[in-house]
Amino acid sequence: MKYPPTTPQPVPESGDTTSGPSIDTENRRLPATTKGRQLIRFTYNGHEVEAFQGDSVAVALAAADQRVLHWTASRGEPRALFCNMGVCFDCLVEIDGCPGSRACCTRVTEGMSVRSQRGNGVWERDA
Amino acid sequence: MIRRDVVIVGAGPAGLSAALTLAERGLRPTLIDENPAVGGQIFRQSVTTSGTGAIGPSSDDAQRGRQLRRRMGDVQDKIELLTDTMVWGIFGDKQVAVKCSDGWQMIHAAHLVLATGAYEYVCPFPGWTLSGVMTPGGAQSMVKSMGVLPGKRVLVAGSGPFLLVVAGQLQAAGVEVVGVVEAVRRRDMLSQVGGLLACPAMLRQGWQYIRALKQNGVPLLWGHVVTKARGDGLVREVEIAPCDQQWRPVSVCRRTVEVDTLCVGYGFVPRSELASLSGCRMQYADELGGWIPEVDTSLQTSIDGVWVAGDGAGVAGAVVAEAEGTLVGLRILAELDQFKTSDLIRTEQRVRARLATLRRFRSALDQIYHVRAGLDDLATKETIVCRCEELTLEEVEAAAHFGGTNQRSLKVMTRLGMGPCQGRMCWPAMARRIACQTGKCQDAVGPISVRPPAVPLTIGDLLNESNSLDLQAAEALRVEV
Ligand SMILES: Cc1cc2nc3c(=O)[nH]c(=O)nc-3n(C[C@H](O)[C@H](O)[C@H](O)COP(=O)(O)OP(=O)(O)OC[C@H]3O[C@@H](n4cnc5c(N)ncnc54)[C@H](O)[C@@H]3O)c2cc1C
Ligand code: FES
Repeated sequence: MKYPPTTPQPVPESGDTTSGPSIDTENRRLPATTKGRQLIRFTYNGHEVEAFQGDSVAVALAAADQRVLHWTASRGEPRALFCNMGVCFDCLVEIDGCPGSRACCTRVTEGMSVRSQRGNGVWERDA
Repeated sequence: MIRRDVVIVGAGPAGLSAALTLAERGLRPTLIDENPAVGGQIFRQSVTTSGTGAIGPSSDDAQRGRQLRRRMGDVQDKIELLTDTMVWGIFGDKQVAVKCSDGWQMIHAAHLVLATGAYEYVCPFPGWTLSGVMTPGGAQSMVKSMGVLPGKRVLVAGSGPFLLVVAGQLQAAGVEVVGVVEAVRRRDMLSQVGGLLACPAMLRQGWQYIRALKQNGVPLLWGHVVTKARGDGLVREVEIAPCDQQWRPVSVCRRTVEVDTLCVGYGFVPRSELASLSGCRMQYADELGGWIPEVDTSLQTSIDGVWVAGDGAGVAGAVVAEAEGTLVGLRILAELDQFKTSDLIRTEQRVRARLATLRRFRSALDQIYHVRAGLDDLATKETIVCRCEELTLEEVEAAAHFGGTNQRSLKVMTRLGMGPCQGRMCWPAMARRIACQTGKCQDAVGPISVRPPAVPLTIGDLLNESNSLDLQAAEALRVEV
């Protein structure tokens, strides 16, 4: 599973970022836990994703069955949430044009634009 | 620069109880945590406890958490609470560099308490970089604090009682837990039960976790390790094998299980980087998880006025963390000459006695679960050992062959530990491996050397001096002692 070696950064189709067994998205979020939390919309690689107030970017994406967050610099391997507490840096994504943001430590906000990061990523103004 | 009497980093059970001890007796400590809510790893506010009680902490833990919160409510206005605030460096004499949402600020602390907790010990094995392989704590906090399941079919593996907790919580949340794979052999565990009797209540809690798994039909395999994870980008199957006393996998009876998520972790590593940035003398304590600051009987480090408490001072669990935090709080009161009543002296004696009992229990647990050398056999030549720099074992061993047998030379030769995690993930396991193979002690191999910024900062962050902590207000807050 290699990242397509094309520039500018290609946008993986929704759901295409992993070719492993797909997890049924419907049942990944415990319904009892969304009560009283505001619905938030943000985008991942241009696709709209629904989340709830208080979600981290990584967890909101996991709930939407988008596991792969980062593609490594030299081997182009996909990486996902690993430590979920900010120490491993496997979850690096580009948030509102700022690469190197840890998806597990960043809360989603309305209208946030998140992109999977390839290697060190690109600053929006350089892209 | 602003000044504070007491700055506490980390609002887990250790930091919270230190802050409460001080605040309840008239001081106004500053309590800093990078998370949006206090509670640390165990008591972090959870979205699920309200809806489905079973996923939250066990009832004893929950009760201790509630008690801390209640005490917090009583003295809230006496604690300067800075959440969503990261400490990214410690400079000079207890100058704490913090980053908050609107920039950064330097706080000069008369007393600095480091209660930064721990993170999970991971070791490289083929397939551990696949998506869907994660730490048990990572999976737990997905469910516990955000109500999202890490997967549908999950295997929980590694070592330590924490696996039982995570497996139970995942199961209660509706995940199919296909099994718990514990590296320690059952008979090696049973031979230590005598020591665990020091704290019968905690021993009972452990048995309850095991019984609950059994009742729910989750198999618990003692004396097994995960040897491989396979899949195309995403983990699909996991190979497990029985292991010997040293956790070395044997070649017979290997089997494969299908999963969509693998949680694997072998206990905890103290997060002691801020102590080392403060210049504290460090020591390696295998049974406490790794490098920790040297302390006296009051948990003061080699630097006057720098104290440590909780897992960051040596992994020992939440109950010890809370007691240590209280002890540090009391000792700081004594230093500030606010320690006159016999009531406080009695409290300190009680806390010390409690810690002594807990230590007996912990040392039996450490005997059972401390990481064994057999895990070194899991990685093959092609296995990536440094997740950030994508170095294979072969590359690192080649460097080791040419003299790269300590942290500094390996860094220069291979870039091991030079990625954004600064070696936090790879170095504990690699240092152990190198020490074992070269017969050197850990002091010769060297600790991780985290440099500021300990957390990523942008130049923009550095250019913005925060004004959320304003100097005048700060001076007014100073407690006269
Ligand atoms: C992921 C994980 C899950 C766990 N789950 C359980 C459980 O379910 N049951 C159980 O009994 N034990 C659990 N433990 C163990 C238990 O949490 C610890 O033993 C206990 O919390 C230790 O308390 P502490 O106060 O020392 O540290 P912690 O509770 O870890 O608190 C440390 C705090 O410091 C903060 N911090 C660290 N560095 C910085 C910095 N530079 N700047 C700002 N803030 C910082 C951290 O974010 C954290 O909130 C878990 C541990 C981990 C790592
Ligand atoms: S998952 Fe480890 S830093 Fe985010």
